[in-house]
Amino acid sequence: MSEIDIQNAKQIRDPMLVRGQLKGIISGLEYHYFAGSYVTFGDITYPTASWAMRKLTDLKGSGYSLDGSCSLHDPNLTESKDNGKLGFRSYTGIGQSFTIGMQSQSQVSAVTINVTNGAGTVTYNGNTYELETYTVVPIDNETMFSLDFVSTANTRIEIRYICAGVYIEMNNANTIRCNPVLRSFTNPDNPSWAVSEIEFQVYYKDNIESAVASVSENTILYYRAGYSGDMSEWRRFYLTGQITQDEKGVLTLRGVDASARLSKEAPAELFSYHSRERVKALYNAFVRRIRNAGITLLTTEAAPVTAETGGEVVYCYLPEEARSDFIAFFMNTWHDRLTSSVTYGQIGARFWPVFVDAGLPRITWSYPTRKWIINESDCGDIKDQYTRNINKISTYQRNTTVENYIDPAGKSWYREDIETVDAKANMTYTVEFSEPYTETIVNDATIVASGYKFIRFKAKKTTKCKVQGRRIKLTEDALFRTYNRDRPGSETELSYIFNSATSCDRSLWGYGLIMRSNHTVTFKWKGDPRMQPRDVFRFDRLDGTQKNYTIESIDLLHEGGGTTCTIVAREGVV
Amino acid sequence: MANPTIKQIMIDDQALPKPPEFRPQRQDLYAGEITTCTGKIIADRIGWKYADMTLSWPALTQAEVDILVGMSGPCTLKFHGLDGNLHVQTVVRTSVVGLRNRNTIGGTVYWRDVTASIRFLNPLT
Repeated sequence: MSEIDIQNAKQIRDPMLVRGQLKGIISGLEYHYFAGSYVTFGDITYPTASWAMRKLTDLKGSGYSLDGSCSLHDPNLTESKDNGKLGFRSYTGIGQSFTIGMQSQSQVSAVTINVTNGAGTVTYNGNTYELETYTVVPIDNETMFSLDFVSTANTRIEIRYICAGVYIEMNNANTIRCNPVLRSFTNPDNPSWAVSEIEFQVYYKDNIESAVASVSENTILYYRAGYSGDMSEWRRFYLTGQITQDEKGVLTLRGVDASARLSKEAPAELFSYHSRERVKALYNAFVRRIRNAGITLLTTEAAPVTAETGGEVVYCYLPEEARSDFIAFFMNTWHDRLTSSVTYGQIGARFWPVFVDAGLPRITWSYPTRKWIINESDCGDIKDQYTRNINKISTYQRNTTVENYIDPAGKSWYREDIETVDAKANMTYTVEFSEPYTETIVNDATIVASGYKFIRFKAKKTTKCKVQGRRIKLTEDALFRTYNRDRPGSETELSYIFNSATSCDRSLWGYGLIMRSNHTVTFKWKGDPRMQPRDVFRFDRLDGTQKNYTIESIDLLHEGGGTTCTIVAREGVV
Repeated sequence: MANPTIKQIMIDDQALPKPPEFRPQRQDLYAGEITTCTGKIIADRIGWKYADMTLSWPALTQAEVDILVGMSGPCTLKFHGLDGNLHVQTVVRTSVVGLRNRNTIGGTVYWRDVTASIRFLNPLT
């Protein structure tokens, strides 16, 4: 049984381990010179903690294991990280001093020194810092500088690496507060995408404000929690805003998950598919839009396999817009029950596309199953809330067509004339369109670049260059569609942002949206760092009822050594 | 480094007689506390430390009072517990040194009813 589950079953549990990393290491720092004496000196600019320094087999500096398990440093072994022969080792003795000079092509505003053994200080420009496992030293934007080390104990100073940038490790000893807020959305009416975020407050005894001020946006911020041998997965956030340090030495670091990139506009996209393969095609478009935002997915459930192919050709045009609108709309409305005529591995299975990030970005389409059980008797500050029931959804459905052009005489042409340019040889021209076109061509010209709203071409000779293309028609039906359910409630108007009429009836009418519960519950609980937004749990209420709920948000708080969370969840599977 | 005898305590390696009522009490430390809807308390036990206490002596010499007055910032307190083992803790003085009367007996200055409150700093798991 998992240690987190064992601890969560207790009324008084042990404190969780909280771990974080700010990985702001920058490449390009090189060793320049050395002054002083040393025992071994290998490459000290290999910035990784994934290798162990080979111990020296002498009686000084904690190198010798009396159980006989020591191994020779061996001068005949190749200097490499696999052999543990990179890095630097000093002589032992209080007062042992040495200087390492570093250089870089670009200005350096901070270095991080990884010390694996020994005690001492490092001085730069008159400022002295005590050596820790990861010591951050602010540098005055120099390309060449030196670091003076002094040993303050009889143990050997071992330096695994020195690199440019800031690397900070967060743990229970230095973390004052860690507050990941993991979010999704569950409301049925025109939801907007919810970004997850995290805030660390970390005590750092030296003033490194100038160093952390240089850490760039989007530097990776890792987080996980749990118990020894049973930690949650590393969640990946990206630094947002400046890292600050207050007068008490407390650093504040904030990050957001990768889904924040969905807010950027995606280029316009036109794709087509056969109607019987709609689910697979639309799911692939969903995955594509997320990936093209620059989000690296941990796992993506493979697209559903269609037993039937063919059907009429259907177009979908997604204009230039924020991806988050499309992703939220698709997840909210595009639920489909798979019929016997189209097999997706299991007849009757449900297509239920979900993208969840919160530091662990994954896409699935299989119907969610219950993962957790929470007892109301373990929860505090419980609030049940009810929004107005929706019994009617109304929308103007939009559709995309790409058709032949019918001229005023009634003749059908594959393409229509868009614009004619009196072009001179070897000159470049740009024509912009007020409406989107596809399959654009230009006679006697080389196309330099093209999109749905423009074309740029270079004329091969002096002539009239005619730009032609197939118009992408975006239509909105005159019929205001409504979908009713037999229950009391109110009407909501949905903004149908998906330009394809395929399965509109099925998706809106179906299997999620109109039947979604209007009941949400908010409660305080002990917290489980493995939980994700959109996870389904069974809530065992005090009145004996047991119902499934879908997590909308988890506000997890590690503070003062303890862990609590506030969960907002909607009844049912969303 | 010298250790106190069973009848002594040591503050920063300076010996004092053990106060007559010297009984440090353990105190569990909790964080992340929630009160559930049934009134049950759920929390994370992050460790224990000795509770704040007041040291009091019926009489101390001037030199011994100077040890208490000289406590500044974190100090080391060594004592033998009820288990007979030597315990070393970090404490801070949290009150002024209370003094009542001063008597000179046989040429030695004694202060009567001396008190000092201390707080133990570091929790243990």
